[in-house]
Amino acid sequence: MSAQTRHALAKLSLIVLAFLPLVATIGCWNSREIDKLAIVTALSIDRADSGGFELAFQVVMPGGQPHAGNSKSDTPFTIYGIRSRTLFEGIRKASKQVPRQLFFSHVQVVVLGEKLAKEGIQEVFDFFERSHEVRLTSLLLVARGEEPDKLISTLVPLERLQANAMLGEGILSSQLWSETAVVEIDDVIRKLINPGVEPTISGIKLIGNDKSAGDKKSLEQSRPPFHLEVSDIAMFKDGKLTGWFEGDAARGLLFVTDRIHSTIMNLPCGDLPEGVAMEIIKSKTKKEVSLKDGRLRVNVIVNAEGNIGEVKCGIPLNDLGVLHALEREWENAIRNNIGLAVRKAQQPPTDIFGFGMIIEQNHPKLWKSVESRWDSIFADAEVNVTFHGVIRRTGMRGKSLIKEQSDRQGKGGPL
Amino acid sequence: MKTSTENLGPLHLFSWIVLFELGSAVVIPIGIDAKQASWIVILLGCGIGIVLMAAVYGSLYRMFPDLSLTGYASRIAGKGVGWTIGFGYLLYFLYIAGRNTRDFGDLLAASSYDVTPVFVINVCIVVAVGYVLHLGIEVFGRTAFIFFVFTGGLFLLILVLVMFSDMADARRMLPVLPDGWQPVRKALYPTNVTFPFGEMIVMAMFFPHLKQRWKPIRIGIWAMLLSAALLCVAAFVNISVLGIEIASRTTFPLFTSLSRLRLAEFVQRMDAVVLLLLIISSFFKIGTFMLAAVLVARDLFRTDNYKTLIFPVGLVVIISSILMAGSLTEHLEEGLTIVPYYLHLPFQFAIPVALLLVGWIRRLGGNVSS
Repeated sequence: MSAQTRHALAKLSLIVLAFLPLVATIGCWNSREIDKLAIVTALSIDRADSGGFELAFQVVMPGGQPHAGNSKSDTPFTIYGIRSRTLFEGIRKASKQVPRQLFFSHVQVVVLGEKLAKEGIQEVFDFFERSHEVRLTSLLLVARGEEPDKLISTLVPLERLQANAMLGEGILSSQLWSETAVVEIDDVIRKLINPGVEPTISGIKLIGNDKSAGDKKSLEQSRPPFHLEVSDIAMFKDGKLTGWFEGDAARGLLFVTDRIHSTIMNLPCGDLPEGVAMEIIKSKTKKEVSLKDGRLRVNVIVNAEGNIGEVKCGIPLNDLGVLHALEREWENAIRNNIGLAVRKAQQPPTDIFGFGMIIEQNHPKLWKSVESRWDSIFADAEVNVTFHGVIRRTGMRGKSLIKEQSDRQGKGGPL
Repeated sequence: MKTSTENLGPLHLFSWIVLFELGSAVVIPIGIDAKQASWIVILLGCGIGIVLMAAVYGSLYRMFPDLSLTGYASRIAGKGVGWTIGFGYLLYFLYIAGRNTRDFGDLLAASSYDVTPVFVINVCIVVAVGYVLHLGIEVFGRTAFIFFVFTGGLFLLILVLVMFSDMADARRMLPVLPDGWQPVRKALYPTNVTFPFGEMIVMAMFFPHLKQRWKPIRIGIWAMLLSAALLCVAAFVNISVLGIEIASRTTFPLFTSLSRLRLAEFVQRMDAVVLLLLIISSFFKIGTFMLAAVLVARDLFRTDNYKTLIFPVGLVVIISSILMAGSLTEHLEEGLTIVPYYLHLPFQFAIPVALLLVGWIRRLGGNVSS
């Protein structure tokens, strides 16, 4: 090799080296800049009258987000609606309306319409599983009594991002009030597939005047004419909505499925039927399931701890006997809640508690033999409640002011 | 032909085998057809692999400690037949390297590089593998050790995530045998007796390159046990996080389960960890098969420097990885119905066992000296 060619080679390799750092700056193949994306925060799906899906996407308005206080005149998000046969078709067809590409990695909430829920929700989930962009952790809700696209277009106070408001209500109310549970998409998928358990999904509804829900002016009043409320639990059988759990029945359902975080239960006190407010601070449920002579027997064991939060009658809370009596009342209330839930689930038989799954896990052979008749076995199940409840504290006062007042006036308390 | 000995320590071989066994098996579900019993399938597959390793490959190695697979094939079966067997192994190793490259490209494309052409992904990994192989077996082993430590850290991270997040429910592992032993047997034969533990046959190409002071077979067995344990951990994570209902249908379960996991509010979307795991372990899987192909080709075609063969072998691997199947479904279908019967079983079981038997008989006759 001559000196000249070596020189040329050295030059060439230097040039190649100089261009090499460019390789590191390429980034992703399909780099999509953020100002070319429309970030979808909530999604609603309902059945269209013509048979396909009625989709609505809640897209964040760029620039309208960071400060809740800035006086932008535009709304914090906008809604695009589209009708399509398949979900994926709808998402791509929406590009006819949306100037940017819809981006689904940040979907917080998926709201299903009641019409769709009644006809069957299975076919919705395949797209969520198949797509690598949508996460299975989005909160799932069923719109009760209202078109779901109306619910996601509702403007709400406090949170500019309405999806965050729904997510916040969903999570907080499940933690503080425990009449609804946070249900994520993959939980429903598991329960749709497993024959030993049926899915439940919390509901969301609009309370008040729904005409002004999407109108920004309604937020300029201190008391908006409407509110979004996460409440009630929908139960599904074979993917179809078969009923709603409300109030105490919903709470009973969550007691059985061990999803109570904290809640307030009102217990009778003297002649006041709801005179003591009891805060549950901890609750743990175990289930013992057995099948004898074709009859399903379930023992629901609830271990709970609570505090007294409020008393409306004069009972001496410093008396241990009084506390024990209250614990018994508490037990009755929980028995009552669970009983409501069980009766509701047995008509029509929908095993939302997963008793069948417990049998399958512990006695797979037995499960195989009863699987086909499970509906009638579940409908005939005998559910027992064993309750161990402890009242830990009574707050910052012992004797209530009502008791003290009645003592001073020389009257005995009612208990 | 006596091969040069490169300085590969026992720990390097151990790490190499662990990463090789994890390659693609850690991310592609093994034995998931047996549902919750998939860990039993993994352990049984590992057990059969260990028996094969100790009894067949190990005996052949003890018979000819200085020779690689192609070397003793022609010593036992004679020049012509031995050369043909060696050529068969060349095609086998090339094809499996191509398959693993395809697996790798398809999984990356399906999980995150959705519009990047698979060809580009495959070229990237094969170029990286080719570069390290060019530096020699010793460098490959040392690289394996570094990444072995790294992989151990990743597994620990995954375990901690699963332990401390409330997403995982160990009860989903029940029932232990949901449909009895039948699905276990079906999952085991022919798929999981051969993949991934039967693929240890490839190691027979490297044993003579190692220092002789320690026992490669024993190290191999310990490495197989560790990788089986790690695969069981992966199976446990998948089933306890996703539930068998979802885990049995995902193409890439560990990726899906880690994207589900959350710890507190800030440790989330750990799926990138799984991509790292996929890239590391696939690197060593592809690298091992490519290196084996290179060594077989050197023995067959009598080149002095195996490094000149890396480029053509890499080219064949890239091209075959693209051309071997039109769609992912076709690729997987071939992997389930054709590869185990017509490639894995003959090359992992039939040929080595036949070689061993013939070797024994001829040794009894005094024809073969080791």
